Parts: sequence; C-alpha cells; structure tokens
Amino acid sequence: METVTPGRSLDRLQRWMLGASFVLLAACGVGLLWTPTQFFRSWLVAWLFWLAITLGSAAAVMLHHLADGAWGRAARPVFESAMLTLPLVAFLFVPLLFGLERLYPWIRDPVQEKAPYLNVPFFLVRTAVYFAVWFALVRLLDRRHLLVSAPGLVLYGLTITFASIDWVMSLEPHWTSTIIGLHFIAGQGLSSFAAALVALAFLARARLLPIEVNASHFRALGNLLLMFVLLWAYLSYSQLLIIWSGNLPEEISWYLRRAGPSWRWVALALVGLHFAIPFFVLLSRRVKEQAGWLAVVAAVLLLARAVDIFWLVVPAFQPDRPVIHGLDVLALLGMGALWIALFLRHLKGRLAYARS
Amino acid sequence: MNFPPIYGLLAEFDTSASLLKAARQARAEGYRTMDAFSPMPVEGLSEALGFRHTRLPWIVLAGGLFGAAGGFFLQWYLSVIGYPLNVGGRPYNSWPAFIVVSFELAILAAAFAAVLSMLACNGLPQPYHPLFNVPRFESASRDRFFLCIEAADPSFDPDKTRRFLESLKPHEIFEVPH
Repeated sequence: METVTPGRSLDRLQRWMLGASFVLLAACGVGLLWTPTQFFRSWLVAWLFWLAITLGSAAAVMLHHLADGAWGRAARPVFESAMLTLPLVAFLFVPLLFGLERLYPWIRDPVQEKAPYLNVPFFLVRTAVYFAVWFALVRLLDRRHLLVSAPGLVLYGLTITFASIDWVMSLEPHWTSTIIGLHFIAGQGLSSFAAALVALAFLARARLLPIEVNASHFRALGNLLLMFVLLWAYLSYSQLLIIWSGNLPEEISWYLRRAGPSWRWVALALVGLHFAIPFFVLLSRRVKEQAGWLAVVAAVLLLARAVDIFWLVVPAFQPDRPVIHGLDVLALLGMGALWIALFLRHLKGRLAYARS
Repeated sequence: MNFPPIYGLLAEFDTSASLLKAARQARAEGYRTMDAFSPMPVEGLSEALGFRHTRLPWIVLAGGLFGAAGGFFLQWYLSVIGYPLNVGGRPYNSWPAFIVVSFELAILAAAFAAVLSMLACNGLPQPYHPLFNVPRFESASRDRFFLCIEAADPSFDPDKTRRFLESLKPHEIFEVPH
C-alpha cells in the first residue's frame, strides 16, 4: 500500500497560498496608496471575517473540552490549527491602527455623553486587553491546560462583546444594540464550524486524516452547524424585532440604511443564504452524512458570513451605494491566502503528530 | 386464524454489549422479524436490528410548516381583515411582530405531529402483548436485556432457532406463548 505523508500535497497547497497572498496583498498595498479610505474599509471587513474563524475555533476547542463528543475528536486538529493563526490575525490588525480616524467618526466628532468610553487611548487599551486575553487562552489551550476552558469561554464572551461594540457598533456611534455581542459570537461559531467542515471534507477526500472520520461525525458537525444557523437567525431577528418595535430614530435609522431601497437586496440575500436555504438543506440527514454536500453548504455559509460582515460594516460608510470595491475582494482573498498558508503549516504538524 | 403455536423465543442477556452482539449475529444469521428490549438506549442497536428510517421526519416537517403558515394567517387575518387596529402608525400587516407566534405554533404543530404520528405508526398504546406472558420480561425495564426472535420470521424454526440462541450464551431462553 502506498503510504501518504500528510505533507506532500499540503506542502504544495501551502506554497501556492503563500505565493498568492504575496501577489494579492501587494495589490492591496497599491490600493492603500491609491485610495487609503477604501483600503481601511475593505481591510476591516476582511479582517473581521478571518478573525471570526480563528476565535471561533478557539471557542470550539474550549467547548469540546467541556462537553466532549466524537465530533470534536475528529475535528480537533483542524480547530486547533485554526486557533493557532491568532498571531497572524493580530499582525493583520496593525494596519487598521493607522486608519482609525478614517473609520470611526467619533474620533473627529466626539459624542459628548459617550466620550469617556469612545476615545482613542481607551480604545487602544481595550484592544490590547482583548488580544492579551486571546493570546493567553490560545497559549494555554495549546499547552493542554484544559482547565482554562470554562473561565476561557466566559472571558471569550466578554471580550467579543466589548470588541464588537468597539470595532463595529461604534462605526455608527449613535446606534446601540445589546445583542451585537451575542450576534458576533453566533457568527464566529458559524464561521469556524463552516471552515472546519470545508477543511475536514477536503482532508477526508484526500485521505489525509489520521483517524477515521465517518458519517456520524459529519452528521454531528452538521447538526452543530444547523444549531449556529438557527442561533444566528434567532439573534438577528430578535434585534430586528426589538428595534423595529421601539422605532426610535437613532436605532431604526441603522436598519433604514441596511434594509432601505439600496441595501434591501443584500439584506434579503442574507435571509436566504445565511438562514433559509442552509436551514432547510441541513434538516436532511442525507446531506449531513455526506462530506461533499456538507462542504458545499459550509462554503455557502462562509460566503454568507462575508456578506453579513459586509452588510454590518459598509452601510455605515456608504448608505446609498451597495457596491463591492475591488479592494474588498483583494483584501479578503489576500488575507485568506496568508491565513490558509499558516493554518496548513500548523495542520501538517498536527496530522503527523496524531499519526505517529 | 392460523397462528403459529408460540409467538417467539426470548433470550435474556446480562449486558447491553452482549445484546448488541446477539442482535448483530441474529441479523447475520438471516433473522429479520425480531426485536430487542433494554432499560436504556443502546447505541447501534437499531442499526443492528435493521431499522429503516421512517417517514416520520417528513410528517413532522409538514406539521411544522402547517403550524407556521396557520399561525401567520391567524394574525394576518385578525390584524388586516378581522379587526384592523392602528398601532403607532404601523402597517396592519406588521409581519415582524407575527414571526414569534408563527414560530411558536410551528413548534407546537410539529410536536403534535411527531407524537401523534409516532403513536399511529407504531401502534401504541397496546394493552396486550404476548411478551408480557413471560414474567421475567418485567426486568427489561430495570436491569436485563432481551432479544426476541418472532415465530413469524420465515427462517424461524423452534429447534434451530433455540440452538442458535443458545450459542449466543444468554442468561436464559424463554418460549413466549400467545
């Protein structure tokens, strides 16, 4: 029998991804010189997308340590490799520090009653705290200090709540929603499980997995994916219902921008791609037991995640123009290629380790 | 009516693992009309017995969709046609507010569909069953595991089946009278 080293084909993919990321990120660099404002907007959206997979994976590792389950034993190498990309994600945040003034209106135009919270020094301190907490969690989990899982999930919930307020909600500083933190947690869970399913289906197809991953593992992961789809829909709808019922000017205007005539189609696409279609497809046991089909659903959900983040962020800058800029695509793909290259590097080590 | 003289042969096992093994072997031996009884769910047992997936999920889905559509219609009819009220200037057909009740009714109707069609499909409640003629069978709900091969099975033969069951080393074998 031919022995397959996990390295060979992944090596090639890793090199391709690394090469592609250099080209794409160089193009982003040109974009930064050409149209800096657009660059920072695109960078923020792309960065939030990849951050979600990394942090969601760390949460999935903690969740599995607490609750156990066959799904996690199959998917753990993938989740752990994804979580270890945190240093890259932190590094990719650095460019945003130079664009804060272009992104956040409260810097030029301070909101009186919120100024004690929304000011640049405190913003930077908070950001440093988030990353410190996340680095500590990932470090401890990587060293198998599993006791950190329970307090770690609490810290994760708190830091994500504040981070989503800082990075996304404050783009429109007059708007408030108490659900946005949970909405981000659901989104990050969904992102990480969808990404893990795409990776697992690919690895299973290429016969690169050290342990057998069978239909029941995929069904369990598919059920968890369905759970996150429902959670995301539930939280999104709760926010809509509360704001729509209250109908307060500073709150409803957020939805008027996002579901008004110009962005309506994006909002409806989200209802379909992020909820209705995956929900009905994932009800089927047959789909959940076939890695290939499940990977297709997961890929659609990843696309929906990108659209969701785009829809949350971009209307703040261009309420009347629901258009994608070339830099949006370049940043998302360039960052992604670099992220995947690092992810594969960690994954190869984990697969070889699990094999021996 | 031409009943076989007995309902079937019942073998008693001490552990869920030996029951699972026995069910797998009986299936490999060609027995199909059989059932297993245990005080708690045994992972893999229904596959070993050859259970097929039923239509129940589709009935539950239909129930859920009916509940959602019915719940929505109820509110839409009331608010738009039956008793239109101006609430804070919102349109009569204020669908975001209708979702909650539609969702609850979807769950309610799906649950009713699940329970009622489960009962309709498996024939419960059943006040009499031949297995209750075996006094030991009571312990199926406490600490014993049973496999029953029914006489209705085409490959059932009183002597051969008994010898097969004995080869599985059960605790005891019972004849189940009608």
